[in-house]
Amino acid sequence: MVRLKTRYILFQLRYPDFEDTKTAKNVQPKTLISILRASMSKNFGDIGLSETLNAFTIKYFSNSTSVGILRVHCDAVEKVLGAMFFVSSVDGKNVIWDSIGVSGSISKCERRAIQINRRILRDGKNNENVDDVLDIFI
Amino acid sequence: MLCDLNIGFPLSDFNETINNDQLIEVKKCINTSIILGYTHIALNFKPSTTTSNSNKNKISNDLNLINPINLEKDFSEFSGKIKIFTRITIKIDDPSQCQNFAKFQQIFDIVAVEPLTEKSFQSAISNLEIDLISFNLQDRLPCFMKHKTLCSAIDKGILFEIKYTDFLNNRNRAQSISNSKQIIRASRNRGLICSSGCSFNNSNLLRNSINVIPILKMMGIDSNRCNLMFKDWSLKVLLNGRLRIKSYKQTISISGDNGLLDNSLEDKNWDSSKNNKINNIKQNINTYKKRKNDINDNALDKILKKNKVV
Repeated sequence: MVRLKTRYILFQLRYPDFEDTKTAKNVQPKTLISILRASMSKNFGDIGLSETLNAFTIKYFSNSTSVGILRVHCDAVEKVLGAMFFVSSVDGKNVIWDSIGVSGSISKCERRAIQINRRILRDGKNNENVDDVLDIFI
Repeated sequence: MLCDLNIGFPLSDFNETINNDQLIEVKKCINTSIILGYTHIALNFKPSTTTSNSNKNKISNDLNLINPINLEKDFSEFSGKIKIFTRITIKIDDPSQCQNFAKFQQIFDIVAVEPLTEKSFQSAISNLEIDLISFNLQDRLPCFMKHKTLCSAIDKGILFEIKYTDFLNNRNRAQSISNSKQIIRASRNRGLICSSGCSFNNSNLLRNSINVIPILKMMGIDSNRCNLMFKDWSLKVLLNGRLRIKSYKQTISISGDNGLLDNSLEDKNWDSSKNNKINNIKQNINTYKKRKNDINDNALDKILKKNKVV
């Protein structure tokens, strides 16, 4: 028997119309999943949709930084990345679904997510309004 | 490094100038591409005039007035973050009307054409000195793509462009996918570049290269070449265009390590266009003098000292 192989995709939602990420506070992981499934079924048909039915969950999503980790089946990575390419809006707001990296283990993804958070903090410190930036993480 | 050689510039005529609202939109586009990790971008000026007999708008003789993209004045805040270049895309209809191409080569970093007929496509490959050929993928291609014509272009150093915003558009998506498959087949998977082609007010159509690569893979390009389309081959186009300005017959050039791909030191005087003096040309002795503080004496320095030019 062959083990079930999964991949973890680290992604970040970018809002080109807004400067700060705070504007979109209430994105639920559920809506992200359903948007991806709709995009898969629209662009790749039923075969594409079938690959998102098992082992397809959002492991982590933070509304404050818009960074998340998505777990997909090993064979479906390419198609899911392609489906992300076609997503153009989430909850009525224009969005760029930017995937940062793909990894076989969730710990590597977490490490990169921490790096991104650190960078956001560092950029915020240079912009002087430290309190606003720290508010994100509380 | 990642290249995106096609970000739309709002103007569509040589005589217009950019207004503030449009400038803000373009800057937003550039900011988004910085966030997505691009390092080299080219602003694409696409005049609506075609070269044919029916065309009434003549291109002005003053070189200062031809290039509307003022990198030093309008985009100085991006220096150090991202490298911005200028590009022109001209629609060719009638190949006999292309005498003024030499002007564009002096002023724009990249010269691209969009052939509308089979005849102009053939003549663009054989006669014109250009860097890039792009098609409007949403309509039918002007002719059937043959291995022989495309490969002869690629051997000459003219590359072909695929724009990924055509796939994001719901209109004529099947046509644009089929067209790009034709180009990929005829070019034998080489000599292609991928760029965004997004217009200036649609910065949400930009994508990261990681997301575009699976789409290109589905059209039959292997993953290494997908990466090359964004990196090496795009840089090749850029270097080709820069060498046309900066070198003697594309063989000898004087520069430091980064001098070829850096346009920050060029001598452009935009205010003196009224005096009918051509100051917009990129290569001249002043460019070299500006650099002189950074580098040691070399052969050209000694000659200049001998002749007491310096």
